[in-house]
Amino acid sequence: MNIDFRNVSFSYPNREAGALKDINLKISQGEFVLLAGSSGCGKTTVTRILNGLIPGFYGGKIEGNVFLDGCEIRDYKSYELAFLVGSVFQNPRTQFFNVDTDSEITFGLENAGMPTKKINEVFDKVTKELELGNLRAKDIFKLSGGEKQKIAFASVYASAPELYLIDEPSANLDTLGIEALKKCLEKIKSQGKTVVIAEHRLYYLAQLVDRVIYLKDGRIEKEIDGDTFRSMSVEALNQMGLRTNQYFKATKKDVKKCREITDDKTLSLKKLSIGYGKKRVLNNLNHDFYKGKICCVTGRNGVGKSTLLRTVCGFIKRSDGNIILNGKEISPKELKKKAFMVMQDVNYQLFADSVLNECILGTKGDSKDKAGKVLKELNLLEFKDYHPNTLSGGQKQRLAIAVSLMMNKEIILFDEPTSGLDYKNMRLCADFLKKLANKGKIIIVVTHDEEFIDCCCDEIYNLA
Amino acid sequence: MITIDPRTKLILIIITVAFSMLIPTGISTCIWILITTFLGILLGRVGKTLKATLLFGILWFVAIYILPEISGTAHTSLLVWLGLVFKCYPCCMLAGIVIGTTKISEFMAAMAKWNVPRSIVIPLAIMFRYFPTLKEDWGHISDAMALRGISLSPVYFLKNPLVVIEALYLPILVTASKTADELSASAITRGVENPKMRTSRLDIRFRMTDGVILFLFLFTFAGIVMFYAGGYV
Repeated sequence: MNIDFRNVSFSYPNREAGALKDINLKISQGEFVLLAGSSGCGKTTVTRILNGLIPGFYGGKIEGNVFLDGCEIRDYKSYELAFLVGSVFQNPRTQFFNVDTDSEITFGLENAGMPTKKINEVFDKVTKELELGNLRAKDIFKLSGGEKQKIAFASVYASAPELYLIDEPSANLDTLGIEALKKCLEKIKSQGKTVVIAEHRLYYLAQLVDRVIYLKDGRIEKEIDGDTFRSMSVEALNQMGLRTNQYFKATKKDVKKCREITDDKTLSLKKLSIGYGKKRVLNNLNHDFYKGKICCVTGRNGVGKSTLLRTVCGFIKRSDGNIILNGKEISPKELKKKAFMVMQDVNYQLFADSVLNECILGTKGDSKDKAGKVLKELNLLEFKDYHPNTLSGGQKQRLAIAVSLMMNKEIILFDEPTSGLDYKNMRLCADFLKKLANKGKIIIVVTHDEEFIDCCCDEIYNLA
Repeated sequence: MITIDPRTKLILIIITVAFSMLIPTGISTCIWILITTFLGILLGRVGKTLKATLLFGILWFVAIYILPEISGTAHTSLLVWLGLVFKCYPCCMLAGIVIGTTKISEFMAAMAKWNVPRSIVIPLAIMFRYFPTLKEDWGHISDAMALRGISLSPVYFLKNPLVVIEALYLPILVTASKTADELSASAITRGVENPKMRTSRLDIRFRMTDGVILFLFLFTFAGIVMFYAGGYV
């Protein structure tokens, strides 16, 4: 499908971020185009214009013209576009309409009114081509993030659109999930489909892209062809606020060699086993986490990383073994008081009506002075009267960190802190983690993000 | 294991509602629970159906053998509570079976066959879809509350009702509106607004089994009505 943006400007109602200014862009049939740039630069907006969600769903004012194969996009009805343009979104949890995998894959075909027999033919073909045999007839809520994203992709693939729009598909995936996603992308590229993808993590796309459109503050700042992009140095990319274009694995570090270890400065797992009912999730873990150090917990999806975090928070009773803090055994109840987790979706843990009240919530006595100090440290003081819901993703995360400081927690755990963050915010997050470590906190981070591990982690604990 | 048309299931719910409205609680309630159990097992939802039946049995036992032994306010309040539970039990149990055994796509296709407008079907479908999401969200939010020292236990709630309500209200509202937005956006990009007749991967139509099940429920219902009308019908 040929795409042509002519002098397109757009702004969201009541929001500055994500606006577009005077975009001129031509994409021809079969091209694989990457939209890159920091959060709020307008990448997602471009994809939303192409699938008709702008202005149909999000509203806002659009100027200029967009043509799909020579026809004005505004002349298409939402369902006409739906059968030409396939969209895969960032969050696999909320792009499903059905609860079972089979119905989800055929959902688009059913909407198109395809006869039952034909639907089943396409369904069989798609499951074969994308190797989904083991995911058939499953409950979607029981799939891993990677499996969900695979189903999301399959459901779009089934409708055989001419143009694929893909918005940050890797945000919730581990390395294996990303590999599987890459395979799917290779497949549609080889079929000659047009692909437009907005993404922060770039390494897995480097071999596929024909052209990179670099957006800054709603304008196209630079167009880079695929070969130039592949040969760019990591420094040059970082300077532009972009992540690496090469795959690398953070090197394993050994924290024990560089420091003296004393028992009163550690959180130790001793022969720890955890299970739900009869099923053992984690078996016989032995590990020490040190005060003032950042430990990254890695391992593929489903290996029990979240279970470990929830155990250290005191949510789950251990089936066997001990957890020892500062030389003494500690019960789940006491752990709840000592530990704090910054969740992957931080929206779950913000309760108050302003940033300042969020910090004071649950603290005793007059804590406003302390809250001021903590907020200042985390660069949030100027937002103290804002509603937490109006903050950006990175700011919300820092607010949760502020809460943990207000509550004097000793152990701070992070679950995938960099999912969906751009390069700049990833670096910021790393810096704040280092600050926390320097205060003598025990920091445990569950992450798949090798770039992030490389820039802040003191030790890698691989759960395998 | 059998499958029946979602439309049949809806008719069964309507019959059960009529039953609850017209027939006083008594031995007929037990009969109704029995045929509902039978249906649940046939539809392949064995464990949960049997559990629900067992719970009903226990409550019934309490009403018959233990309730007469209690006196005073406890007797009255238990009597009222049990009366309410018995009134709602058949409908709730059947609704549980129907929701548990019907796929959203089946439901939408069946509604399309009845020519129910999409403006009614789509919100209903999104609602079905939202329940399991809410369950997940609830788990995360209660974790988040525990991290702040807020507990969901009744004792804590009685002591600090405002704190608990505030802590539930904002995250549920924010995540629910986000989920609803993203779900709708995704559905639109997949052509849910297409006015053309919706089809289905599964072949949905009334079959012999639908007839048999409907006959079973209607026949039982008619029998019970006749019994209460004293044979004069």
